[in-house]
Amino acid sequence: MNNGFNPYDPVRARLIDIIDESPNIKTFRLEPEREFSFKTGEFIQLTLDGIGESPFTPSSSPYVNDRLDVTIMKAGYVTEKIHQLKGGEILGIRGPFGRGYPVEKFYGKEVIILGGGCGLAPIRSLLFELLEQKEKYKKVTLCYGSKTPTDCIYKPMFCDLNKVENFQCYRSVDVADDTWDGHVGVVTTLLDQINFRLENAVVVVCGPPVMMKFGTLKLLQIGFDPKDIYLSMEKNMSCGYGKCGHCMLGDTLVCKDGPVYTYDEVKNYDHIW
Amino acid sequence: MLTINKEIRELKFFMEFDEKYQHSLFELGEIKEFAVKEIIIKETQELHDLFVILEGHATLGITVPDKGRINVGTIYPGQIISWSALFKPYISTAVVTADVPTRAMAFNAKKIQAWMEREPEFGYRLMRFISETLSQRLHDTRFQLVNIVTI
Repeated sequence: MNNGFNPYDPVRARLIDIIDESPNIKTFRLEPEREFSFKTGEFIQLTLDGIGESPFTPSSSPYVNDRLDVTIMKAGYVTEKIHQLKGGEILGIRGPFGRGYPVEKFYGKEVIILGGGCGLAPIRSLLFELLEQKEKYKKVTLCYGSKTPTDCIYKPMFCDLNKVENFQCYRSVDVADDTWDGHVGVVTTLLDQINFRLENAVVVVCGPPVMMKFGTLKLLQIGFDPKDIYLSMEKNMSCGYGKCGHCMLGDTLVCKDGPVYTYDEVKNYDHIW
Repeated sequence: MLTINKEIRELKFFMEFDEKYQHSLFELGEIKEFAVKEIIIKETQELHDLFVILEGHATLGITVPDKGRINVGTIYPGQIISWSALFKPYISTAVVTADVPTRAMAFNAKKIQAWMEREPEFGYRLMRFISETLSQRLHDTRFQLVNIVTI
């Protein structure tokens, strides 16, 4: 939380850059008018005056607090309007909210990250966090899938990460085209290619609900303990304080108790996907 | 007799079998090599061999009317292709092409079938491996299907 500030009063932030990531995904770089810090996996509410606000997990490094990247897929009214911005506009940021990734629990372990589509946005922030203290993790493996090669976001990041000791990245596409000679198949098929010690590994899953569901099922099939599967859940977060109840998941509220849960914490709830 | 190194012995397929069966498999198997883009299996062709990829990788595709070939999966060392060689009507369901220089071990399907009948323990292990493979491919296909219908 931003101590001393009204949680419902957004921090003003100038849009200083827009990066095209894919045909329907852009990264918006914001410069808040005062320092803005967050922990990886926590989310913010991004406000566009006169239009509305939507929840997003920052995709930038949690170690940088004078600017904030938010990667947004065009998927509805507010995101459509945000995609029409040209740069220089003022937006509002509320938050950060919720419970992010408990990275301390990953120390000494192999961290496997399973990401799909725009789900790579929160993961990018997590990767910055893991890179910052890379000696604390045994190994980090990113498996990322996109529908087509064009839909892949943060393309340069994959080359950079593969140069880092103990970091490995694997990519897949559901449907290949002439530009692609890599792995073809849904992202879960990448899990068949990587080596890890099950008893000392944790998995972070983030992506569209369909991918989260099938990804989790595959991890359970492989033999992962539900306590070692970390999911970033999305559920219509609105107030950010557990007051409005829009984001109820079982007897928890995603905006307050999530968005990061272990599968063990949510497995008995109905309609988790 | 083929030269079988440790890397091959430790491929997922061969790890399914104990040393006795591994030995017999290596005696029965025939190494085949495929160049880049070479077709390993044609779609709807009659199949006579079960293949295990040893080195390299191959892409599995399906021909769609008016669209041409659509690639749906990549097969890596230790994984099988042309499992349909063991099941009626013994016709391939996909086209498989080598992505890079690829080596595979081919097993004559009729000999494998006879062996499974003769030694149920071997048959059980092979069928367990094939069932797991098909279960995974079914899982992936459902994932892909749900992806498509929810767009």
